[in-house]
Amino acid sequence: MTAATLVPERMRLARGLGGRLSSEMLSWFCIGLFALVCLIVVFAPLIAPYDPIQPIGAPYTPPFTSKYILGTDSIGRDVLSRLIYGVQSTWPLGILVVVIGIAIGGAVGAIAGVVGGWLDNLLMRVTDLFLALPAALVAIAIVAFLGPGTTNMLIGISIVWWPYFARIVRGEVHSLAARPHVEAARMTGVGRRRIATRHILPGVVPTLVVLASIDIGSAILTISSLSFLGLGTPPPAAELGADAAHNAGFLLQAWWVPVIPGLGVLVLTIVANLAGSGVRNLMLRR
Amino acid sequence: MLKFIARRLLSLVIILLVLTFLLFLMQTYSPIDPVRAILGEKANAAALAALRAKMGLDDPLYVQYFHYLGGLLHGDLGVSYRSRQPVIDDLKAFVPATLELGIAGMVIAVILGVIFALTTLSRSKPLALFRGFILTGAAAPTFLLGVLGVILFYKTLGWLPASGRSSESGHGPTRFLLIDDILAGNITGFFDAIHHLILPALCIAIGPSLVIGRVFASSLRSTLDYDYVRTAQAKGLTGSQVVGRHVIRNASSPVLSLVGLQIGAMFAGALVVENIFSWPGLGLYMSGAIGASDFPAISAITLILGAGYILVNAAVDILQGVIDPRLRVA
Repeated sequence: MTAATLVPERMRLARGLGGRLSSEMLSWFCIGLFALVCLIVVFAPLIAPYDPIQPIGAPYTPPFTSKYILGTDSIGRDVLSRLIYGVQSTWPLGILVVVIGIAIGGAVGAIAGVVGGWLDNLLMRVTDLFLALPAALVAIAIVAFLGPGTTNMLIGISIVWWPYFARIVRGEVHSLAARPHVEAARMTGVGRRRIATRHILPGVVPTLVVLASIDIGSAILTISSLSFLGLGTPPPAAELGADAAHNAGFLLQAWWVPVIPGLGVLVLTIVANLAGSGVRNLMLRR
Repeated sequence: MLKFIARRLLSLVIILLVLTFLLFLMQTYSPIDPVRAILGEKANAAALAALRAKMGLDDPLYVQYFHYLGGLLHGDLGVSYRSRQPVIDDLKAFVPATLELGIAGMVIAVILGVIFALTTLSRSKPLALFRGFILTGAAAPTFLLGVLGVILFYKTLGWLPASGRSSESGHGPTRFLLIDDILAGNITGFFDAIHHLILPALCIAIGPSLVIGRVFASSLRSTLDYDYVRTAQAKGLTGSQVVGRHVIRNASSPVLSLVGLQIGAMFAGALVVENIFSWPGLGLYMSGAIGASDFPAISAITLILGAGYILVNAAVDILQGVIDPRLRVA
């Protein structure tokens, strides 16, 4: 299907904020923010002031009025601690979805591009079929059938996440194969396998890195939507989407309980997008 | 031309078959046993085996799949484990609600996207603010937009309602409130329905509007480089005349296929947003179905929305092929 392959919609969306960062410093600052979130994930148990599962105070304490900085939820759990643990569950999942997508899509695209012939045809037909399906809906259905949970969420989203990468990697392999350095290698009698592994595939890596970094933001949005629909880790685990969903009904009495996890997702997406454009700028400079 | 349409229709059928096959596989290989889901944990072995045979679960897989396909063609989407009614009866009430929301969302997304693209042609500060709003909104999860929308427009300002499709009860012949109200000549009902529609539709529109806006903006920029634009400027047209009369139309073709693709994101957004606005559509039904492992309902919803997405995209492809012969290849 031509229309589906022309526009990698997720990637455009993922650029989100900060589409045109310019200076190198700024790029590194954004990548630093990304690293900071990773640190929060690693040291979550040390940073979180309270246990995210146990009630520790009166229910619905508003933010900034007590020692619970962001307030408490419907059964008196610390919202800040749940936010930190929610970040801990969402962020690595977002990175992992993209890594798995790149691994599968990259492999499919590279094999199709390098081997060519009927295999190329077959692989690209399969890729096109996946591109023609509505990704988010299929992911939701897969997780609903497998049963809620982090692993199943990872499986469901990864199944629909790879086709974009396959298309792009295949295109990249084809354009690299026409470059003079590959032609020169072929002239000097280098074998096909060596041309592929030494002269073509390394050239795909920069594109993949840029694509991956730009894509993490939309992976996080998808994950939090599925979690909101009840497809993530079952309660009482802290999860950003699910926490917002459970408390959306009390939105008029206690706005902060659903809003804060939602803002958490927003910040994660922005950080991922900023870091993505940072990486892109640094790579384009080279 | 006919060959192009035939080929596109063939691929449409194949994609639909793949979707049904995927859903069939998921139902078959799901770790949750449908017979147990219907009869409950305490059912005895004989009852389980009897129902298993009755549902045809002992047949070979391909027989089951053809049964499933045959059922689909007759509008049989299975029986809901929860309501014990045919899923199709449950869905009759919900599909129009979600479609109405989705269509309204798409209209808003296209409007916002076009405005976004046009503002990139200008350097004014307030317009940059609008772009910042769309950019931030697209990075926010749909549920956050819904929650903030309710707080701002319902609780604080009191401008818009926060739940449901309408203040009136009952429904007309089509179950599309806007159409029913027009048919019945019910002006207040019509505006009431729009009133209820604005906020949830806006929430699902912001993400897709950025995608549309971005593509339209780059299409505008490349169209501006054409010679006929310079000719138009040379003969003395003002900037807005050039853009309005000569550029927008030629730049809008890529947007059409994008609108089709964004319907997928729109439906996914609707599943989320309906839960916040108690919108009585497929999203609310889906949440309940997920909680109860109601597989016939889940696969029916996925099938209906998925088929809708696939059909619209096929229609868009064919339409573009008709308009632009260069797209008929491939």
